[in-house]
Amino acid sequence: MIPPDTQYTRVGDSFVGYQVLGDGPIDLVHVTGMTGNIDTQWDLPPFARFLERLASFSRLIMFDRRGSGISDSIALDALPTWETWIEDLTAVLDATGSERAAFLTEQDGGLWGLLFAATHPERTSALLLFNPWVRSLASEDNPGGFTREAIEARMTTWGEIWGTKAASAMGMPSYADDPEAIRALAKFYRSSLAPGAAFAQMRHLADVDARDVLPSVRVPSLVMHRKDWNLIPAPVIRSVAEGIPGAQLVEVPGNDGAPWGSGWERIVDEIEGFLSDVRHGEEPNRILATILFTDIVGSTERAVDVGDKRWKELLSEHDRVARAQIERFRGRFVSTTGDGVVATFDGPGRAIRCAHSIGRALRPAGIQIRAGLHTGEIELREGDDIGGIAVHIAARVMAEAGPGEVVCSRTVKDLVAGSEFTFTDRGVCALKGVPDQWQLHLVNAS
Amino acid sequence: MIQPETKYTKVDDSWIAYQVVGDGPIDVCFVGGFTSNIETIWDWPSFARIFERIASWSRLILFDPRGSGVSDPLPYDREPTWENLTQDLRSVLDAAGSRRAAILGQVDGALAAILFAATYPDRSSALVLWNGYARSTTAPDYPIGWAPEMQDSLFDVYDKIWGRIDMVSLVDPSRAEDAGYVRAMARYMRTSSSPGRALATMRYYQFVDARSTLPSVRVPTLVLASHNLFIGIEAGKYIAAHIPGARFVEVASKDLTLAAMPIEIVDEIEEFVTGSRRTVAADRVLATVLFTDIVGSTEKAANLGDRRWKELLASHDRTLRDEVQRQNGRLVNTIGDGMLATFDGPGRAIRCAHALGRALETLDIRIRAGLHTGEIELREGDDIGGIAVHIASRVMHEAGPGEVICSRTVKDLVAGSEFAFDDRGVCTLKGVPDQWQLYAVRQA
Repeated sequence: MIPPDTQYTRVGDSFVGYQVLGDGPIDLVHVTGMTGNIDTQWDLPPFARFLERLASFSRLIMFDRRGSGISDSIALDALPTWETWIEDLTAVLDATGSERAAFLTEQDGGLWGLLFAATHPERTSALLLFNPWVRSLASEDNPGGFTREAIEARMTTWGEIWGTKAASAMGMPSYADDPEAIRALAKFYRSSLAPGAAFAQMRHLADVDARDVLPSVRVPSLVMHRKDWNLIPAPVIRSVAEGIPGAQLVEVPGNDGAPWGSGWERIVDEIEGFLSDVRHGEEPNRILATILFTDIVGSTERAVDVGDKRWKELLSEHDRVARAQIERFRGRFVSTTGDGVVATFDGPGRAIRCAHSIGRALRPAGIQIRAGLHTGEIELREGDDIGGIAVHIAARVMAEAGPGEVVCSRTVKDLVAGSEFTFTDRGVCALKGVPDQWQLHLVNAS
Repeated sequence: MIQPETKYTKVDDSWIAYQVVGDGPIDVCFVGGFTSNIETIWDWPSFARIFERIASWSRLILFDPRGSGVSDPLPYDREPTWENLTQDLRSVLDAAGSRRAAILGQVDGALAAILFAATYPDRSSALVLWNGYARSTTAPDYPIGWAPEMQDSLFDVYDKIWGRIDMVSLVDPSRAEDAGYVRAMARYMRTSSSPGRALATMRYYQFVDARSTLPSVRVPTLVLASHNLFIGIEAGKYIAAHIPGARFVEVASKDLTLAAMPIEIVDEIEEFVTGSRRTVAADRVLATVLFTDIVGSTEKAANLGDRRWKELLASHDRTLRDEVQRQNGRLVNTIGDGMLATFDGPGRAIRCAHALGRALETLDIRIRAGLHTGEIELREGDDIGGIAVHIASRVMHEAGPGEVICSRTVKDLVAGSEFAFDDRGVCTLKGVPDQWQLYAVRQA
């Protein structure tokens, strides 16, 4: 078969490559993990047949995220947050004119599938997670995970043997005994990622934790798993299905990491069946967002000091600056709170950068602020208003911030793990009027 | 069909992918430049047949330079300079166990091939250049190539067509109607360099000027050039006219790539490479020469007294050794209160001069430094000689306290990279013929 034409779309200054195949009634986006190359994927016969079958009942959209395959590369010493990669996804949806699509994710691609579905339910008709990767590190609340030593040891091994047949057989064990298949697979992996790039991305993944996002996914979801795949423990994958409200779990035999491994026909059948059952749901009114609260430090004293007229001028300067920064970081301005603002962001990294940036921009005016951040589900209400417990939590988190500080909940920290941000532990707090104990973190100024 | 095994070797912190194909008596190393992917080139039948033919009489070594194909990426603010590419080439030859190879450079890869052959004549049995160029933009003394504004409009076009089938008809017009060829080549381009990387690299090569290194190439050289749109035949003629004894072959085709050529072109290369197996005496090589000198050393020595001065000089010498080693240079000798060192790349020499200045400041020592790239003679022991050494020494004398001064040759060779220069005008250098354009290298 002749593969579909490859095209590029731009994300800022970068290029992202994509392909479209088929003209079925539903848009289906294939979100690979870090190993992907839309040009060379067609060289693997089972992969090509798998994609053709998907395209027989959908309009199949394929792309390489930045840093993989044929798309522009990323700096290995400063890996981006998920938001950057979600920008790639959004740009490809826009370039292909897709308003609403189902997402078929593989392995670490599941991280963005989850985040995108929770943040943009209106653009997500269904979420199909194959061997999803949400948390690999073991902890008290993730006893099925691996220890950091085990992850490091595995990464070291992979770094040394990346691109060899042996390493490829670890990802897709069913290929191991067929010399021609394993040779082609190793070549595909090499064309996806260079060893240094693979190593950097695997290290990055070890710290990511997306479990807090699971309850906010409100789109029809199917979690698929090959029972004997050993890179993510089975209990961790089952907990993904349990964590997403109403998600279905399908376990199939085998131990390959990618859906196009052995027995892929059954997986395609499951996908086709699931998608044909998906009905267009109601317009969603609950979405995942990162909420930013800010507040001017010592506002009463300041107001008394400078007098009414000057204070009013300072406040309007504050509002102007805050709105401009929120817009710059593509947030949504919700309201002012007298001497602060509320805004929501679809990515936690941009919310953090915005908080720091508002603080810096107000300094020349002699205004100091405190800021609080939390990521959670919000309700979209009449007008531009928002509601929900997450909004209260963000307001309480802000109250814990000292002058000039940006404090966030653990959820925010987990979502930007591995990126440019560093944090100082602020211990566990009770937040007024909010149940449970909350682990808070100070975001260090960059 | 040949399905070579890909291996990796590490240069600096990056993994470089390479392959070795065939087991002929001669090593041939192919330098593809930024359009390089050693995995997918085998999926392009027109190119694969060229490699298969070369590998039938040689041991063919292929690699992807940093930033291209299946080797590690580079951040966009760090260009894959031809100096780096030369380094990658040398590391791959080491990894492949090749003592001496014929270097086959295509298009931008030819720049690194030229620098390598001039710097390591003992490791280059022959130099073969396919549609190479020494400079891509016009200059008052170089009417060949693209006017800078033409080149900019070309980049705007690449931006839209890189890796897409429209580009193939510009690159290899005779194959524009061959759907299989067009698809294979577009795919090869896409998997070699993403559009952002390709554009950044082309912008970098816009500034490079390797003309001054051509006379230093002493290995048997074959220059092949076609009447293509991108490089033009004149660029090849220029190279052949300036490399001593180079042979020029004009190829009657409007296509740019080797893939579009009849297979007989490989026979031409084979005849040349196998016919030039005499060993070249490696007593003259291209190098960048660095001289440094302590500013006001006499006064300093008088002020400090003999013992203290001797201690300071010992620390000074230690610092010299460390910094030269860090940039893979060779310390030829320390001369009283200065030194003479050589480097295989001009960028490394500049970085060394700056690092030395900074490191010695902590000892309260200020130095002046001078740099020139040219041919040096390797003499008995570790000594070196030649006019280039004298020039570097004279260039240093033009440097003020704390300054790093270089000749135009050095500046041209690192053009487009991280360094910035201040024009210091034209000088006569004592005992050296001609007028010399000098530059101060700004501190990074």
